[in-house]
Amino acid sequence: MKNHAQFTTGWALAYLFVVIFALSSFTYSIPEPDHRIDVLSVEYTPSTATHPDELINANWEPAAFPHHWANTDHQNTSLDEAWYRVMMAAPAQTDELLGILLPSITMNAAIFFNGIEIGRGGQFQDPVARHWVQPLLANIPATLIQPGTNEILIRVKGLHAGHGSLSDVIIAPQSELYDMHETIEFLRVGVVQMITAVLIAMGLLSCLLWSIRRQETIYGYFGLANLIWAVHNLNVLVRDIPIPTRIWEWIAYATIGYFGIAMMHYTHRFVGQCLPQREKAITLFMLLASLSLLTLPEDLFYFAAEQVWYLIVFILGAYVIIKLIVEGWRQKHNEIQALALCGVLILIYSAHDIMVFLGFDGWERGLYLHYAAPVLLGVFGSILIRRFVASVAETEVLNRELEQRVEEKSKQLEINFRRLNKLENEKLLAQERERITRDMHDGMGGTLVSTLAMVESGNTEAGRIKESLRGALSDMRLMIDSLDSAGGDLLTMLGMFRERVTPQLHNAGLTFDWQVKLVPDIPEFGPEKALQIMRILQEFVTNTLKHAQARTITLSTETREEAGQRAVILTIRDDGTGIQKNPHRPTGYGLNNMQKRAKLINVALQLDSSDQGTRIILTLPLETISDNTLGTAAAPA
Amino acid sequence: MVNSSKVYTVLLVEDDGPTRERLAKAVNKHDQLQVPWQFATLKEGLNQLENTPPDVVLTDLGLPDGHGIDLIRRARQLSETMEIMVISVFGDERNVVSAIEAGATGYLLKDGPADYIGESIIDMLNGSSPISASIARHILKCFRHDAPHLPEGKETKQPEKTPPADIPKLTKRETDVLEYITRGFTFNEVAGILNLSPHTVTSHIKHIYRKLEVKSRSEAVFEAVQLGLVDIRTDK
Repeated sequence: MKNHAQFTTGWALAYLFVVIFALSSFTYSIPEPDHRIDVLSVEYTPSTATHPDELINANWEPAAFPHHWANTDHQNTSLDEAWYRVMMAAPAQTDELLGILLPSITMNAAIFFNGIEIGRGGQFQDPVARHWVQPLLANIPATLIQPGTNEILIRVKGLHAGHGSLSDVIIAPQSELYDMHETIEFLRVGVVQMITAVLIAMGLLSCLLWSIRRQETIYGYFGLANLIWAVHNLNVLVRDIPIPTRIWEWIAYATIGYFGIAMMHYTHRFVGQCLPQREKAITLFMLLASLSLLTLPEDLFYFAAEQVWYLIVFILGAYVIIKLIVEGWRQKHNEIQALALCGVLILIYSAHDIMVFLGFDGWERGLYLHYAAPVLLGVFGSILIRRFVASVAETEVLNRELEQRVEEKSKQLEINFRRLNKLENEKLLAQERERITRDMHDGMGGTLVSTLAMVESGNTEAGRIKESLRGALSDMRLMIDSLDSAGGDLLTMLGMFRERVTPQLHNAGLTFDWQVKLVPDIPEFGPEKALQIMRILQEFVTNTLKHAQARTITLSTETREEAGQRAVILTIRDDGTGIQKNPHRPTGYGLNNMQKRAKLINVALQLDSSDQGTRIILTLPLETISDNTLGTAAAPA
Repeated sequence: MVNSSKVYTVLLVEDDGPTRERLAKAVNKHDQLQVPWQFATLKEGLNQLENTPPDVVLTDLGLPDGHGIDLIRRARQLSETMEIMVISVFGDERNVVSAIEAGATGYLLKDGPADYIGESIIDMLNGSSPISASIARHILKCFRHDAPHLPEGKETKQPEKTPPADIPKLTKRETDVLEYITRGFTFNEVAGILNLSPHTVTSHIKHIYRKLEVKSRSEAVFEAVQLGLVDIRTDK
């Protein structure tokens, strides 16, 4: 905020500079040719004559350039045509070709030298050719110059009855007049052409911006303002107009007002004010006022346009500029102040132009308003660029911040993830360690302890010790197998189990009937389940070998579906003598142990025994079922 | 086929003294087998290979001065027909598969009964390589991957790195045999199910082992070419 406050003095100076620049531009005048030939007299007469021959009875009055009809208090000002008679002495040197330059005419002129037409600026009927900014140049043929006094007659067609003028009649060597003509052409037409081209480009660009971002109506209004101004500039650029003069003039008048409307909308948005009621009222009023101009008769039309309409437009312009200045001051906003600055310039130039129209200033320098455009465009262009740069910078900052935040977050996430992962791993490791320890105590450890007890008690019968040690070794293999990567695959695990027990069965004269069919993978079948199932099977085989006097052990797998539940059924049976003891306490068969193991891994175990043999059926569900259901299913019948 | 009158020489390399003694004793017990050389180091084993190649190599993998795999590879280079057995312990299928990839034709369980050791060697000389459900599963896995058998995480290969077409693949029959073995069926049972003679099944296994070796070797070359270690264009 301090920054803005400091600028206030600077801005005041800038205003001063603009005002001085604007005013000093009025002191500018087109340089005179070095060898201008003085005229002897200038006379004027209102007349509808089309040829010098018709001027025999004309009533000539002395006049001085710049000459403006509205300034002369003549009774015949109702005419929109007049003649000027300029007398000149034959030049001393005749070797240089001479010419006549009319810097500006309202509106058209034809030049006669000693009664012969030597130049004409276009048609005299409506629509009359327009030379109000474009100079008219004519060469004087050397053969026409007579010794002594020569007569130059200039027919002028005005804009309307009360408005016609001739800025000057410059007689000089042609080479000098050409330069002068070119300079005037460039300043009054060339520059405006360039400005108009930029206005159109800027207007289209701005409208394009608006069409992409509809909510930013400010660009739309600025684009509209530019295009309206460009249309207005046609009034300066076009000499031979294609439509009736009144319509043409109306367009020129109206567009100035419409430019004001667009700028009012633009300004309201620029200073951040929302005044839809006021905007609507002013727009409606301006549109009605401009349209009502069309309904007026010719003499009233020009009066109303120049004296009333321009005043209205000027008031609107002043409103816009005062708004910018007040808001710029209040908000201490550089952009608004800059706009207000060029508003002041526009106001000064349009004040000058109105003075010209009202006859307080001459037409020699032409109109000024067009020249304010580059300033306005420059200011708006720089504002656009600044806004663009600011938004890009803001995006960059936001992006950087976002990136930083994302990076921080991902770092945090990574740390958290690592920590969790570590905890998870530690937990898994602890679980697995606990499981392996338990399994070792449960199986191999127990066997080794009982073997040691045997040896310590002096029971050193080699056969029993060997058997006991083989049991421990076999259990260790079970554990190793369950930890193999194949431990997750029931069928391979069964294959490994078979390899292990085959020598035992072989030695006891038993055969294995292997009925393992392909079954689907069992979900969540890991080392724990593998080990417990193998232990159950091992227990069964051990029991059969010890007690059953069987000849064959059959192991089968199949898929079965019951009540919509698919499951793998693993059956192991022998053809031995069956369980002879009380089936409710089949401790000899280690059934309790098997049931315990089955329950541990949530697998249903069913035991059937008769004198035909013993059978265990394990049901491994293929769909994951809640522990509760399994618990019930696993309970012994 | 084993010539019933011939005595086959066995080179035994095992660093653990008692185990070596036990194995040598078990092998010598068989009429047709003899262990003239037994060593505890890789270096001695390699030397012996160069001097007098044996009929059968029996080697442990973890040796004090190197890896038994090197001995297996050298033996296979020297002779296409030499029987090479790796001494293994239970639950060591991964190492057995690596040994087969290096050229081994069989494996022997260290803790197996004494009778089993001599029988296994003779069976192998008869063209029957031992296999287990777990090893069969490992081999199936190796061949199932279209891409070369690589350490985990390296299996995402770029299209231009597709291995050459001459890497052997398992036939349908060989795959069937392996799958039945994976499920615990014996050679005889597999033969019955697939309508083959038991001998055909066992020779399938030997074949599969050799295929695994060739596959592993060409993939090693392929990998080396990919890594720029070997330039086959300038190979003379």
